[in-house]
Amino acid sequence: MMGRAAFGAMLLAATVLGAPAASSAQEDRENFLLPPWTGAYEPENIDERGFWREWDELETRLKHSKYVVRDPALQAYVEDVLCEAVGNDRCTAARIYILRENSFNAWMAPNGTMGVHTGLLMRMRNEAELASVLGHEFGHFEKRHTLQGFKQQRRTSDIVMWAAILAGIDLTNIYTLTIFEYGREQEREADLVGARYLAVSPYPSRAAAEVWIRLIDEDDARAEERKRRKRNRHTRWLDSHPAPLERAGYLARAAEAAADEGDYRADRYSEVMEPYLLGFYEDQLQRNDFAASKFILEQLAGEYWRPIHWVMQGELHRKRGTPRDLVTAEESYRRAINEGTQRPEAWRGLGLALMRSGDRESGAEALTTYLEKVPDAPDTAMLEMMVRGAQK
Amino acid sequence: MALLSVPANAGWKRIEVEETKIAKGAMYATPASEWNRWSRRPARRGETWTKDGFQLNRLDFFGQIADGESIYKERSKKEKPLPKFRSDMLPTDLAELFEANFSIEHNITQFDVRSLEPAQLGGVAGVRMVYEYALPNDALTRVGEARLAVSAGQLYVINYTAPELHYFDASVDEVRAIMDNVELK
Repeated sequence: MMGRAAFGAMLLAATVLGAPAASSAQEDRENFLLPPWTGAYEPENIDERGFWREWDELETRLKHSKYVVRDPALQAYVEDVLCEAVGNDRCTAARIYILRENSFNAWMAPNGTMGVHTGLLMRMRNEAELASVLGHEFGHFEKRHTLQGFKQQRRTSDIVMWAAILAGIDLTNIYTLTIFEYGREQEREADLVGARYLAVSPYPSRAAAEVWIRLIDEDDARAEERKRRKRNRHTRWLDSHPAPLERAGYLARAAEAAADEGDYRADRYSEVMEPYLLGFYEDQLQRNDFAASKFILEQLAGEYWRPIHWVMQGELHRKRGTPRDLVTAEESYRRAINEGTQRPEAWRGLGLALMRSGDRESGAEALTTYLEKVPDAPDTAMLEMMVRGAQK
Repeated sequence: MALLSVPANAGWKRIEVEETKIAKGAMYATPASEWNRWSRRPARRGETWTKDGFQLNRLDFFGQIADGESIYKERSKKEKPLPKFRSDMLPTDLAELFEANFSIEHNITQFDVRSLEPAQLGGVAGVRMVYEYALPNDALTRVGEARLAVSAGQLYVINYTAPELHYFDASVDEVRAIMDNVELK
């Protein structure tokens, strides 16, 4: 097996070779070839074996956790994207768990456990962006960053942290793409390894920088609404991660160096996500995070608003519920319906928005349509009473 | 053992089987068995009871929530702002308000409504919501039953949570009797 130093040297060499030069795009791409995959690292001594066992134990608990989204189609898709991102030889080293959690996050543990939050899937606009995040996390794994930290510190802070996350620590305000306390240099390394995966994948390298830029903008929107200072602009001395703005910068330079073309696969991504999107977004709306939720939706929809996006906009505004919001909500639901949405939530939302605005009769009509479409909804009894009340 | 998860300085007071002033006099009720009241209040006019520790059963009372106030006490406006009660809310809005307040307060990311139906809270028309939620890293299904009603423009809430396995059923009849008979002030 290749030693860590040799492996690092090889990557370093590749980085140097990858510097922009007066060469053809084809040569550039060849310079970005990945080092051969040597298989997932196996623990070598008693300390490491103990460390692995603790992760295995946590994974076992995760397996039975209600936190995990058990959807074979979605699971297969995310696994497929990881394989496209890092290659078929590497991707089988990861075991992916999709976690129902609205935050912008993904992580990977040294035993190969990978967590992908539904909040990440909701925010990505295309397959290439998802691939860039999964590649970044796989980069930490391949470079054995957790293990290096463990060796240096001889303590299990990462496990403690992982356990804390699984125990329900609030993640809504952690805007890092990893929960582990890797050092800044390790983050940068994982970013650049991730960029190399993208460069040789079917996806364009640019996608990685685009994710970071959106992350910054989303938090700016949130900061403005909550009247707190904006973050993510500069890396401070004690920060364990490079600031997103800095990351976006060096990732954009790496993409330029790779000079690769590629397919974002935006259509395929939105097609796969369509049935899940509203549910993931409802979890986000539950966090009382209006400005960021609005930003997420606008970024997702871009210039091509589909009926599902109008339903989402309706939910966003109805749940805030100011008189102006209720007008916007009503218009959004109507638009979704006119454009042929099949989601019954459009009629429910329309009915509730109208009722709260005081138009009880039209509201009751829309709710009746909803109840016809979903006769055994959990809220049937409540809505039926509201309909009867409006008709008196 | 589950009580260990609360701060060391938490104090407890036994609730006897007698008419009890709850949430600083926002409500009055007579429990059918003894409970323990936690000294830390979930809201200004709120109160928390348990029999066997919060992991096993928990009963929260919230009274006299005025227009513009959250259900739980808002601990961080900048990081975890809570949505506020509005007196023009529909019954379904009250349910959503509770869901968001509860989830943000307890850092819960998976909350699913099992049923939402009309019900009374202390004789006042309102809603009954049964829901399930999960704590990460926990294979147990946890169930909650909340009743919410608006009286004289103010919101009242009683919320009961317990693991579905054994504990929920063990106290739910007594809890429902409290919800039926509570006196709202």
